Amino acid sequence: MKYMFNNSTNKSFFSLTAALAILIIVSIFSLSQGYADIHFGTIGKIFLEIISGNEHYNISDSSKLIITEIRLPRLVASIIVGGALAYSGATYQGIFRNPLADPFLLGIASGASLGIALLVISPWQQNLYVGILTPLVAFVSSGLTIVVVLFLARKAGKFDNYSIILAGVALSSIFSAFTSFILLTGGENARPIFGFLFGGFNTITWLKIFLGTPYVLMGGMTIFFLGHRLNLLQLDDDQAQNLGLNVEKTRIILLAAASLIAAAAVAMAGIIGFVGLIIPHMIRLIVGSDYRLLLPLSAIFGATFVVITDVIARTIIEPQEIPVGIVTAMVGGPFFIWLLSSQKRISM
Amino acid sequence: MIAKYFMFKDSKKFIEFRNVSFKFADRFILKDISTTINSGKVTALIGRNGAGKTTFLKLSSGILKPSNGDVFLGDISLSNMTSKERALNIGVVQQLPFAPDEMKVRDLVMLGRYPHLGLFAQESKQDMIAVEDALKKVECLSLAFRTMGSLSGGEKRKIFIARALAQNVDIFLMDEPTANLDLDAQLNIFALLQKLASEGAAILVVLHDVNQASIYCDDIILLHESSILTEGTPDQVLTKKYLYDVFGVKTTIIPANDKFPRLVIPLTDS
Amino acid sequence: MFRFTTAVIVIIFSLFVTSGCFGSNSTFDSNSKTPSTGFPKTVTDLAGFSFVINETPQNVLSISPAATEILFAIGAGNSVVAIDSHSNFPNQTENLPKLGFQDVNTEVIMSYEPDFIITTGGHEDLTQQLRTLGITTVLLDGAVSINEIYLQISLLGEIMALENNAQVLITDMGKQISTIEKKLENVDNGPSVYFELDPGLWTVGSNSFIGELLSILKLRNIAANSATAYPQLNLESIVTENPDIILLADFQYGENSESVKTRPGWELISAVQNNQILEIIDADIVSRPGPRVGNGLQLIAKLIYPDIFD
Repeated sequence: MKYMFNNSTNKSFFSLTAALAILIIVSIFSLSQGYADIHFGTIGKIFLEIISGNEHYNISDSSKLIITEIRLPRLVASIIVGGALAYSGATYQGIFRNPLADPFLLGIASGASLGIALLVISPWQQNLYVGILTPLVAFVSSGLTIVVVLFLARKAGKFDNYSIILAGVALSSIFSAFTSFILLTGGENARPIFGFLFGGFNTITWLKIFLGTPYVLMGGMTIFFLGHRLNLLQLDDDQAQNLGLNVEKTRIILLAAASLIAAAAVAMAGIIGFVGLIIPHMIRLIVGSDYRLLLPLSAIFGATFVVITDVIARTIIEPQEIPVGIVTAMVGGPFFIWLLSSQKRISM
Repeated sequence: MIAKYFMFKDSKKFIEFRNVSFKFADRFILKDISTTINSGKVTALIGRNGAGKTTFLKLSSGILKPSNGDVFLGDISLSNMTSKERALNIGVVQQLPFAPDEMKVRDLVMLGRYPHLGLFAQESKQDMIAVEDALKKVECLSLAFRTMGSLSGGEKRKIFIARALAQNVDIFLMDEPTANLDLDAQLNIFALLQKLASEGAAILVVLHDVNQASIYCDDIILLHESSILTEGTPDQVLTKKYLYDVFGVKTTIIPANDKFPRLVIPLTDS
Repeated sequence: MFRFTTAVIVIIFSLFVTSGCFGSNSTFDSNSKTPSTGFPKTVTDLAGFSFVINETPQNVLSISPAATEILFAIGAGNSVVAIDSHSNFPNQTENLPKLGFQDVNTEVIMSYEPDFIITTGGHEDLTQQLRTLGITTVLLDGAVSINEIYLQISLLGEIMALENNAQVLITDMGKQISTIEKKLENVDNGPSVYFELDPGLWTVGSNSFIGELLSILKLRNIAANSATAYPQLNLESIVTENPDIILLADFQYGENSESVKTRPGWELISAVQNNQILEIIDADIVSRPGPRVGNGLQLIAKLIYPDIFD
């Protein structure tokens, strides 16, 4: 019995706790960073006031509002979006048995971009930044893209990885081409598209967060309960079926859930690349390919990563802002170079 | 689902084909097959390549659905069972299954426990004991923490057999379980199968070696051109005529006696 | 595939953004003293490109809204046969055929048999192509300073043999601007201002054309220290800098003083509290570096210093 007894449960518990602790520390740190100089003590007092509901500290209105209306929404959105993208990426990698898959593999990004591009040149351009039209359009376009991809795959006959990826890549290319065309001919008016394409939390509001989070929760809960099936999917379809998995159904459900949370993330913060790809890959190198651990750990580290990159994005060239998508790309590129040269490559 | 499982617990389990046909791309791979894979016996499925042996195996596990007729597990049709229910009763060992190179042996065998695992696929002590026992039975316990990519072909095959054992099923479907195994390992596997059969399991093995079928199996199904040409004991099936009809090979048959089983010696044209 | 496209888009975008930074930095050879009647004459443009004119151009194409305005302002409007789709001033431009802007078709250009073409930033490739086809083409980047506008007016005056008109225009513009500056003589420190180009919090830096206008009006641009000409600010810095005035140049996105007030977190800013959110209705005259820069200055000055400018 001593052979088989593994303390993997203890190891999992430990690593998850440690990851959460890091996330909390990083989050507190992020609240203290910004253009305005606000001390830790002040931040603590602000929270105490919020919790207790009284105002017994003499804190300036501006500090309070900066924390509650600017830094805190950015922090919360970073956690949700980062966690969602990494969770989604890990799921995609499991479904497609490919450590290089990412949530935008099937065209969520190009679909959302095209939707936004069309909105920008449409008569409703007036409402681009007003209210929830932009996140709504982004969300609906990404959702439609996935539906069309699955429909195309079904028409081809099977829901196997090959057909789905083929359909996704085809659609991605078409949508990207259209988006580029609109950008090219849009001139000045096309500028908002860039903002969306590079992703960022500069214009995040509590409203956008409340709108997007339910979808992240829906998809997230699905993956939370069914994600362990991905372990079986690492074998071939026949084996997985023989071991009790309804392969087609599982694949569709997990794909839909992962796409849903990625679409919600894109609706909230634009297109932030590399998170869905790097984080799960990195975690895999450390803890292996057991999806029961890989999934939650990826989500937590994804959140931490985006919190950090958002701090960088808004402080490194103050008062200017760099889109978060560019910061993650700057980290992602070197990571791939390192991967190339390192021994610890995961074989596909 | 649970009710069905308990119903099976006491009755004998076997696979029954009732007038099963399977069509693919306008061609009948199998035509009107009716037979039973009985419990307590090791049954060999032999025939030429392309006769339909793999399809037969897939129909037996429920992964393929018949175009006509039905396949039964006891008296329940396989198509009325969920994948999980089938997995609780039938263990399949394919010929060349894929496993990621970096997967540990222990984890692969543990995947066989999937139908038994709880809500978040958490492993219990019982599951770990099952995995350990399975590895012991195929004499691979020492490989437990090796990666699949580091094993030889024969070792891999034994691990996949161990996984089927860990599933704790009463029906085993295996495709060439002893290919690429050393002689001692071959003996070991067949001894294991016979032991399982004696404990009540129903076992179907696809074999190319007719002598293996003769030596180790209780029954033989001879598949030829999409139908069952004949079935029965080795004495009944492995005759000069049948072997010539199916393989076009002249043979000398050494009948069984108390020292050795029936043997087939293929003759070369002189 | 998507990442490649992103890269291309990043590159194009950076070109857009940085083209505002780098105006022409070569010297304008004011010593090309060729008599206005003397042909052939050699002209060197602001980027150092030299070419020979054999006769005053008659079929002029303008793919630059600023250049279009200059041409009409110096009296060369009759020679303009086609313009880009953004050229919308003066009124005569309404009836002229439009060539598009991003997607100008070379064949269409050739069909007008132009003898002189003016392009602007972003059309470097097109300019090269046209020169290879033998057409005199001058690329006038968006001017970053008022002085640069004067140089552009002079250049076009020389090419169109309307040097006198050009000089008059420059003098008038100069008078208009110094009148404004005089009125602001007694202003030591103007209010601080956030100039919004786009609700994604895009604004102008000090090394941009609008940035220069703001400093002429003695306004303290909160983005003055930005590294780039068209930076994106983050919300926290805007709130912390607490501008006295917010100038909105993004009307077309539906932004007005009411919508800005509803943005979460903005209620802290004094401009919002004091209702100093000023909408710039005609953003063109403010952002287009051309002959109407004085009007642009006037427009902003009226909004900001209503007591001094009525």
